[in-house]
Amino acid sequence: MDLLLTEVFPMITISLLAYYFTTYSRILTSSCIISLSYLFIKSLVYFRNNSSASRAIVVRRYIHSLIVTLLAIIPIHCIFIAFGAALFENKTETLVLSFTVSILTVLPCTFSFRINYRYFISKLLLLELYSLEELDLVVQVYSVCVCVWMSAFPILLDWDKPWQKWPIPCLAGTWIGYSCSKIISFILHSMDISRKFTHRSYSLLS
Amino acid sequence: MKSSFLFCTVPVIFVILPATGLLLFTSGFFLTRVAIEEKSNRSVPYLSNYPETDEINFEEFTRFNRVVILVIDALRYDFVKRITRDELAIDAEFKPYHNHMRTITNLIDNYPRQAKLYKFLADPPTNTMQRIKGLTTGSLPTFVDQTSNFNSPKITEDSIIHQIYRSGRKSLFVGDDTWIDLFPDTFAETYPYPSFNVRDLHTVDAGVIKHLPPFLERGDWSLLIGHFLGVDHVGHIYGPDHSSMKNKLTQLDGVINSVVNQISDDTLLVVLGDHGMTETGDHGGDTSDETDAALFLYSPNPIFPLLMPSPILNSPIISDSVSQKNIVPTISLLLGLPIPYSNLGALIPELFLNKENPLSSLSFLSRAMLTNCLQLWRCLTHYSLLTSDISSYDMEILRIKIDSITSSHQSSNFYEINNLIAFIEKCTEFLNHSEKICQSVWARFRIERMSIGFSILIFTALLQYYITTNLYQHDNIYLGDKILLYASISYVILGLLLLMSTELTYSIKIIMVSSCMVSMSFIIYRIITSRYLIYFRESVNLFSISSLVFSIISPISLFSNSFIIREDSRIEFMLQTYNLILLFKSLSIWYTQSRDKSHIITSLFNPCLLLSLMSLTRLFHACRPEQLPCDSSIFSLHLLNLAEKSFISAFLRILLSIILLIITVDLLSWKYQISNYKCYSISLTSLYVLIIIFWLTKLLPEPPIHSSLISYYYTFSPRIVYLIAIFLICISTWNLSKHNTDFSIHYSSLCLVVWLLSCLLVGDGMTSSLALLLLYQGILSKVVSYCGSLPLFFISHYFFLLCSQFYFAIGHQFTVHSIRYEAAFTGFHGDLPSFILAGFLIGINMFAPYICNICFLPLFLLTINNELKKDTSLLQISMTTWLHILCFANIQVLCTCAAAYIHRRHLMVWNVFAPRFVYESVIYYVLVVSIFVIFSIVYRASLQINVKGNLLIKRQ
Repeated sequence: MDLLLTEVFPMITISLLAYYFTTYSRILTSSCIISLSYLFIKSLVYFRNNSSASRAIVVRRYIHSLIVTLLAIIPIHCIFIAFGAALFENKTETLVLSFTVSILTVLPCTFSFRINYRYFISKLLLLELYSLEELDLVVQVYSVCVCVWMSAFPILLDWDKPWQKWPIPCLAGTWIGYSCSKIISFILHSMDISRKFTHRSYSLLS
Repeated sequence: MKSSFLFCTVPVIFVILPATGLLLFTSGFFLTRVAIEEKSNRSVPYLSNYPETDEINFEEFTRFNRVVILVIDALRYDFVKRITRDELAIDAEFKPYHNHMRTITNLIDNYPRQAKLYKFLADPPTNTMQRIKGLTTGSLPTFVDQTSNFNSPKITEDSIIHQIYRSGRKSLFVGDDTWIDLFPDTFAETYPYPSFNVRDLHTVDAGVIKHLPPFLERGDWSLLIGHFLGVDHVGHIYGPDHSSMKNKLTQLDGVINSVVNQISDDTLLVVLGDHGMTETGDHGGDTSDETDAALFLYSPNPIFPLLMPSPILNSPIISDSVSQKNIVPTISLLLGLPIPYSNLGALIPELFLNKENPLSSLSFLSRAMLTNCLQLWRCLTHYSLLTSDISSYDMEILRIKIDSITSSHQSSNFYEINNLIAFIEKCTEFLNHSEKICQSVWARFRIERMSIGFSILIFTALLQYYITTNLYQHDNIYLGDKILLYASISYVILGLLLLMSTELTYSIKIIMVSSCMVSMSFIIYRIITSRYLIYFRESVNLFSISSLVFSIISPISLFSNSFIIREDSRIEFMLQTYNLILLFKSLSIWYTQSRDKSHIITSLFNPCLLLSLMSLTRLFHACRPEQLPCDSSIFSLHLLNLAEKSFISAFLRILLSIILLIITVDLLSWKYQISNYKCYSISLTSLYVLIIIFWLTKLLPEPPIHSSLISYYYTFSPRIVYLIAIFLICISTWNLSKHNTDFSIHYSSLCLVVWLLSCLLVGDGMTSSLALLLLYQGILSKVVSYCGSLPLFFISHYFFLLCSQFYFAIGHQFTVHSIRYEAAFTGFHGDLPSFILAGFLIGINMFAPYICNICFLPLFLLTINNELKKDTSLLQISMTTWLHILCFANIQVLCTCAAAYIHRRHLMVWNVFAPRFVYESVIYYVLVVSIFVIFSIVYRASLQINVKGNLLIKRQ
């Protein structure tokens, strides 16, 4: 039941919604709706997992997470601009993209990690992970980022396809990255790597 | 490795080997030809020892007063020819392009004396511009025609259009605007339409259809040209096998039908394709699909003989396929005009046979043939005087043939059909033979040369990688390394030998291939077992992975035309990724080292500054024509242009540049304590003051002084700048080799001089960009030293990308149009002493970021506290980095070369791939030269500092 609610249900919803909203003009709206539905499902899971704790604390943390997620849109947006998105044109499109990325990366982290930037650095950059859930989260964040990064390349091609318009490839990239992360997590789970989690970091940056 | 070994191998591997490969490749890829600008004229004699020919009467040949040429771009022969069921292969279906030109096929069936369809053989390169040149001049155009003007593609050779213009008649044109570039002022009236947008199938055609009928009604012209582009565009987008092709051909068939009904009796209608297309719709190469175009001739009056004179019918003179050159002499003579001077074509005999009886027909044809032969001989002798492309042996054979033609013309009795036929056959043989010779000289890619050059480049890349990675790894020279050296030298010698010999024998090919295989397998073995790879395997982190991935991605992306067109975005994207990784790294460093809140500002701030500064470079980008819609930055405009539009923005721009210039020079002087040396600080100050004066003189109105002084008004300040700069460079080099302290002071003043010189040549607008480059390097050095040990591979690749990024950020693109010729006139007033100097100045203007980056690299490496081995010196690190950069550049050269090779029939090869290849090779040699100069300076300094004479200076 737990797996069904956290993993399978979001995937099915997303694919159904994505199928329903394939019209080009509605793609931005649909992305927002999908992101919000993801948010909704995550919130449900969050409240169910924390049902034993004090109500006030849970709600306060929930609001705190939402605020952090919304604030994270600003740096993500800036990074998109630094990578070549137009500064003044297509503001809404870029905003929708950064909103989606923020929902998919920052939001689950705020629900699971302590909301503290040091904690984020230690988990996301230095990979000081102590549980499989944390590993799943980090996999999700990285795979979404890498897929968004890679999906920028088709934009440059001169095929003149309607789906090459900014930011559709990147939006697709976020969801592809999310799906990939689920597959990777599944593989990692089935490999039973939990034994290997001795208290050491696996930093790529060292 | 030992230094003596290095001194021997490095120049061979980094200079001579790539040069050999590139020379071989370009000699096969860029066919060159010298254009003869002489125009045919009745007074130009044909043969000095044959005076009768001066009396050739061209009016005698006149058959038509008007010619309508409808060029249907990419009209392949089988688009027009009637295809029956039997001619198709078994099981094959009719294609969408079959049997839609009903007008033409019906005319041929119903009026065989008035209409005929030929296979129209194009000479490669089958590109529209080259084909138009060929169809009008009758020559074999190559991609690089050496003419007197480099800027415009205007045809300077004699052509049929020029002949009409000179005879006082009118030629009209409507269609593809390429013609207007080629003939800017010879048409009486033109309606050009842009040919750029391949996706637009109808604009050009609709324009031609609109303007043709009024032209046809007027009748005050001799030549009317209509150029349809629709078929070509359909091919490029959908390929020939598509229903749009059917619609297009049917539409054009309707046009031809209406033209046929409208033309008068003294008019010849010529419908022709300038080239064909492959099954994918491309063209440019030499397969039969590309070269076999269609040629259709029609006139309301019979033009073909009722019955061929029987002896001729069986001879090879009459043929159903016609070379594209042949249309030029034919139409010229039929209009009663002299044949264009540089025509290489032979006339189409059938059109000269329509006389009352066979004898008169044949004698008419023989006179026309003689004219043609003499004209061709005149052209070839002229050409062989200019260059040695045609061998003297071939010329001698041709001379014998023309002599026999002229002597038989003088001696034989031309009232006998057999004599006439023999004469005509002689002429045909002469024409065919010379055509073969010309084709072997001009109209072929030399695949052998290209592939040998390419294989030398691959070999070089492997050797370079090997040398670079093992540069300071061990002190013993293995036997294998010596073998490598000898192998490379022998390879060079072989390459040079091949360059000299024109034809390759089978044995040489075998030797080439086997030596290549042996040495390559050897090098690959050494690379696999080398220590560097093990080192790389051990230090897997985000930096090594990302730089490895990028150093693979960026050459591969050069195979795609869209990635070359948007290369500025691609490089910016990669550099921003590097910056982001640096940001993550510095955050994690902060976390592991201090976790102090006050320090997070520095660890976060500098990488973010890098990200935003890199985004700022977008302000300076210029646009390629393919990137439209896009606005070029105001920094790339000429100052006076900008001042005309708005004086305020010009003033603000120049103010910004002045402020940035002063701040940069003063900041760096302070940072490296240059002001300790009065000589340096005074001359640097005077340098930038003079540069500012130069900019201001451009902005201010001309002073009312004497005209001879006016030239000095613009040139005095740059000239003094050059003098002071040379003086300063000499002083600092001398100081570097004499004094054993203050390396950074002398060296940084040298760098500053180079930077100021680049500022002067780059101009006032882009100086801001160069200042941004220095600022960027300063912040980068801070970030890198904060991040601790980074792999040198990463730093080298970062610098290499930075060079390209700032190449775009000083408003250049990899196109021919973006060369700024005005840079050659800084300090000179149109009276340049030599082309070499002009090339040098333009080169600095274009490649200033590369030169500056190479110069500033040792300073950059001095400031970062790199955690390489403690016993490495500055010279070692800079040398390794430089060689890494050269390796990356060489791999880019290799890939652009391969891209040009693979895409040699691509639509965009001459707009995108070939210029990219040329630029990359030039960049490689700019890098080589600047690295050589800077290395020798640093090396001299290192000799002083370390008395033992090793390649070392201890880092300060």
